[in-house]
Amino acid sequence: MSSATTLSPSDSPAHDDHGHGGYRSLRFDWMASVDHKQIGVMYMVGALVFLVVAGVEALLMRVQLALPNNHFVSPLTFNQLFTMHGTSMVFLVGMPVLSGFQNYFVPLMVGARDVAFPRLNALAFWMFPLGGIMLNFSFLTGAAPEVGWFSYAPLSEKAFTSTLGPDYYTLGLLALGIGSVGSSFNIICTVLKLRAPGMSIQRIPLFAWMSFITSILTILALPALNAGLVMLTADRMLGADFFKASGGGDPIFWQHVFWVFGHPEVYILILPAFGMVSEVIPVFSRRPITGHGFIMVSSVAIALLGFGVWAHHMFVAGLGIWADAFFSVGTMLIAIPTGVKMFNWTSTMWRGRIKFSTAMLFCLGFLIVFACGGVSGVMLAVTPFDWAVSDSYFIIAHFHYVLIGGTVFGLFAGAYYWFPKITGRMLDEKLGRIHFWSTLVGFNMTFFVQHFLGLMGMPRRIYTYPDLPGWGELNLISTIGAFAMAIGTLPFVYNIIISNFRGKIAGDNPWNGWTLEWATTSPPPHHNFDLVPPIHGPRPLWDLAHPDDMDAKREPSPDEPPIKLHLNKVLMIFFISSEAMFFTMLISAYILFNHNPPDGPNATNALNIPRTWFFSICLFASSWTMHKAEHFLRAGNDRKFQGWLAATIVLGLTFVGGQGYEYAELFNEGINLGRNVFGSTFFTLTGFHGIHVFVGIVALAIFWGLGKCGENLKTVNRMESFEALGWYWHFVDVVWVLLFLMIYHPLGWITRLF
Amino acid sequence: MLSNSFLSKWLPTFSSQSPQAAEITRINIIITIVCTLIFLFVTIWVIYSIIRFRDRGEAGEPDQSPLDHRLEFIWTVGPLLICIGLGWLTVKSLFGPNNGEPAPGAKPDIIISGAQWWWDVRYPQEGIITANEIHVPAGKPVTVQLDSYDVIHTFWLPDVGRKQQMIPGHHNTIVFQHDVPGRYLGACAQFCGNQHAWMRLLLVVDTPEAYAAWLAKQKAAPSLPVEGATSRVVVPSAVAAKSSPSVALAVAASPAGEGDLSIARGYKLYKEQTCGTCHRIDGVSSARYAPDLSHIASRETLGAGVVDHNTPETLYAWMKNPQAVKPGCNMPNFQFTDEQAHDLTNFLETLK
Repeated sequence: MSSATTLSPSDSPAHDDHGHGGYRSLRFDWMASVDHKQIGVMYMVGALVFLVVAGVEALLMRVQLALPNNHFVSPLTFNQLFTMHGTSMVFLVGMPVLSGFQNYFVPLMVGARDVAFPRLNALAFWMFPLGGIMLNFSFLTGAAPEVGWFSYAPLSEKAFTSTLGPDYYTLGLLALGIGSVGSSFNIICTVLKLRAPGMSIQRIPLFAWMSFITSILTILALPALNAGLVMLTADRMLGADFFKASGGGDPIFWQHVFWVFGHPEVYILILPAFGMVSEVIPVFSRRPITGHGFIMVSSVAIALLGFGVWAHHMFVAGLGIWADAFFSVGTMLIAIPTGVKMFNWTSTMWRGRIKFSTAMLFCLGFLIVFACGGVSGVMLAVTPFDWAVSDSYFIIAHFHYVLIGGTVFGLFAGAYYWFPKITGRMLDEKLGRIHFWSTLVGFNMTFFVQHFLGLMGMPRRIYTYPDLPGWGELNLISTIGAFAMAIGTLPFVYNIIISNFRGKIAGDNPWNGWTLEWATTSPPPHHNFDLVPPIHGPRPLWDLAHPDDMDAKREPSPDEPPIKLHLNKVLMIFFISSEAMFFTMLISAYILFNHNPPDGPNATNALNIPRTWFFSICLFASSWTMHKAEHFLRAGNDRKFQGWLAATIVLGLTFVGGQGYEYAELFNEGINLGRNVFGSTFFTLTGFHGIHVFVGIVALAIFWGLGKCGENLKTVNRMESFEALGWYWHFVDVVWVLLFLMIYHPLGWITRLF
Repeated sequence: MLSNSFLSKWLPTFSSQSPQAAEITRINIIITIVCTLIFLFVTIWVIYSIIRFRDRGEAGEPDQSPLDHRLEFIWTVGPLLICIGLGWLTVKSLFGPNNGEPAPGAKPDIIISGAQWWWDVRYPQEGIITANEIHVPAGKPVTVQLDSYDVIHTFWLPDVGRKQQMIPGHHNTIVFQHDVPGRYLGACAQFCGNQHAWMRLLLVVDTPEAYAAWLAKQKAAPSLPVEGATSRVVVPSAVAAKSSPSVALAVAASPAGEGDLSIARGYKLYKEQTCGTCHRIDGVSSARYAPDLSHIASRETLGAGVVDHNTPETLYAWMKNPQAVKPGCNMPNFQFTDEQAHDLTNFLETLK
């Protein structure tokens, strides 16, 4: 269902006149909006607000660290500041602002009217203020999270941090994580299904492609964090033992779970910025990007490798020499696809005609500063070097070079590049230049010296430090640089505000860009395009302007038919992948803590296996009845459809009931989450599975009810939805097959019979 | 190349006075040079490109023909070769002789346990317990077992090579050796809570003779005032009997007798207050929840480095209110009177 056809203006609600109407407009035009552009703008504005908050936190830390033995803030306050600075910058600034750009521009770049699921998009967006306010509300209660953005257990356990800080952290991050995943489903489905006719995979603009890859990383990485947060919350609130060495759990497991999420997170933050740079550099060099395909493929490589190198964050945890060597070499491999990109960007400028707009200046700054962060990353991949500088200021320098030099510089480039499209007005270039140079100088001043502080032995996350030779001086330089950078951001904020009202009128395509977003008005109408231009290559607008020098002549790319699979089923595939990742983490926990049955109640002595056989068979049978229901829905036999659907629901309910009975029995025997590590893993794993079954039953019941009310279920959308739901149901069954074999040892039970 | 002493003084992570650190330093220098060259190459290329291909105001668009794809493959090979080189370097070093891994089955010479926010140090083969300060003989490898009593800490002495986490429920063991006698500052590198900043560790590398002397001193039971020594009648003779002749003389000269009375009162206070619930003094109390005090006066620092010179004045300040010296530490403010704090200080100062 591609959406590139001409639309009559009457299709568009009164969006063009937004901007007046006061509160009513705020309420109805913005808060109730499902328009991807408005949601995108709300993401960006929200992120800017939290940027100010997290930036002030950083400045307070730098004031405290300006002098040795300083007493500007208390140790507890300092710990809260760095925790909230890190958490906010990642979850409340980086991810939302990238989501904002993705929401706004991916549909425009692929020539779509909106994202695939606008209401899901609005839901996902509103999770962001929810999570953000929840996290920052903690300051008002005095119990802001204080154990780092990484919340290493057991420090984050109740025994060592009895405040509510870590609870604000886990709940806030769960809300934000669910929102990010929801938003990512939309980007994936939009890129896969809503591309304008002619836009084959190879013609997808690079920012849209990077957003697509990022979204896949998000839906696979965030569930790992969510699983970790669930386990941590169980430990803190329900007395579970996941990360408590004393209870049979293992603190290292938190590190694994966190970095299985945490490392892909780095790429989630950097890949969209790569995409922005890949859009801006060609336009201001007036040359097509070198190796469009190479960039696409290298991003896939980065994403794949990114999931296999998490333990390079744990070189000092004592995983052993073999593991260190493996993760070290794996990490270095990432330098190859990243190096390919550096080559593509620099060689795009070769033989070009470079225009030094502010957007381009930020890209050039990006190239050099990110190169520095990149090579220090390669250095850190070398285990012995990591042993020397891990958890020191060298690390802080490295990742700020990556995340500011990479992500933030890329974002600023994107902001100057796309602001005219969003508002219809240009940002002031003179202010932009002041912004660029003060940011560049301030940034390097702040962070370059921190490399040396790390090599001099200064650990991270210390609220003060002894007056050792050189430490005070370098820290003071760093603090001055931080203020220079902060002051340098003021012209940018001022520029945004003032240009929004008084900037030069931009016109449709002020930069002479080549991708589809420049083919519509600035700002775009509610329905985005009156007419999507024909697409024969990655630069449709170039082709349109130069019909005799089209890209296709130089580098033909294939015309591919669009994906046949229905949108809802595409969504379901990625939803199931995301859920599978969540269960993988819980299953890992179960295997890790139960392959040697723990003392006390465990799988071999606490479970009633014959009864579980019975309700398991009910669940397995329900997959078959579900299949029958689908068959009769397609065949048009309403009565049989209703019957088989009811049978599925009853079987599902039998399973859930059986599980409830089992839980009640175990609770009566005093076996619960807090009893031992078997209880913790068993109830978490089977409980989340039970919730999934229950959610499936609710969805089935809705279909059953619609059918009972005489609704027509035989529309394409509803039939496809029902089949997508069937996939979910089968997935939940398959998970139970695994859990059943793993937990209830039916084979072991059979052997014990003889 | 920069001289060893310069590197060791300013950048302890580049020390080469320990075989393990020297191995790391060797790798550090190689990759720093390689990576700096790569960075300079990229920077120069970018700057050259933007100067050469800047917009000079020509009309029309530049040539759009793509770069030769073969260049792309060649470019991929470059980083690949560098990665193979660095990977080889890493793997060779990791499995090399000075990787800091213990010999299989080696018994630890020192067991260090991290605690919020101090270091418990034991020498199991010598029967010594101390805290926040480790002594090792120069030029001899020591096997160190690293544990934790509560949360995750990281043992980091930049001068002797690798960093290592201390994780509850795990025993991580490393080996290091330092060849040059001296004092070297270390720290906890893993954020471990409120006073992570002041969880510093002092490594003292001794000459063999000095090390032997230190061992002998630490092994000796601390000299304690005799029970009931607070009575005016008993004190002078009892303390004199246990003290060196010069001290005994000083005690005999009357005003100084007050010092011994104070010591005895401090000792009594130590036993009557709850000090022994957390602290150990060999022969007096055996709790292990806080730093061992058997030879506290022989140590250089207080509060795991928050006070870098352990003197009667600083110890007195600690006694008056530890929370003022190290806010958030686990020792509460006992609200001692000036005199009580003075007595306790005097007593602890005798524990050489």
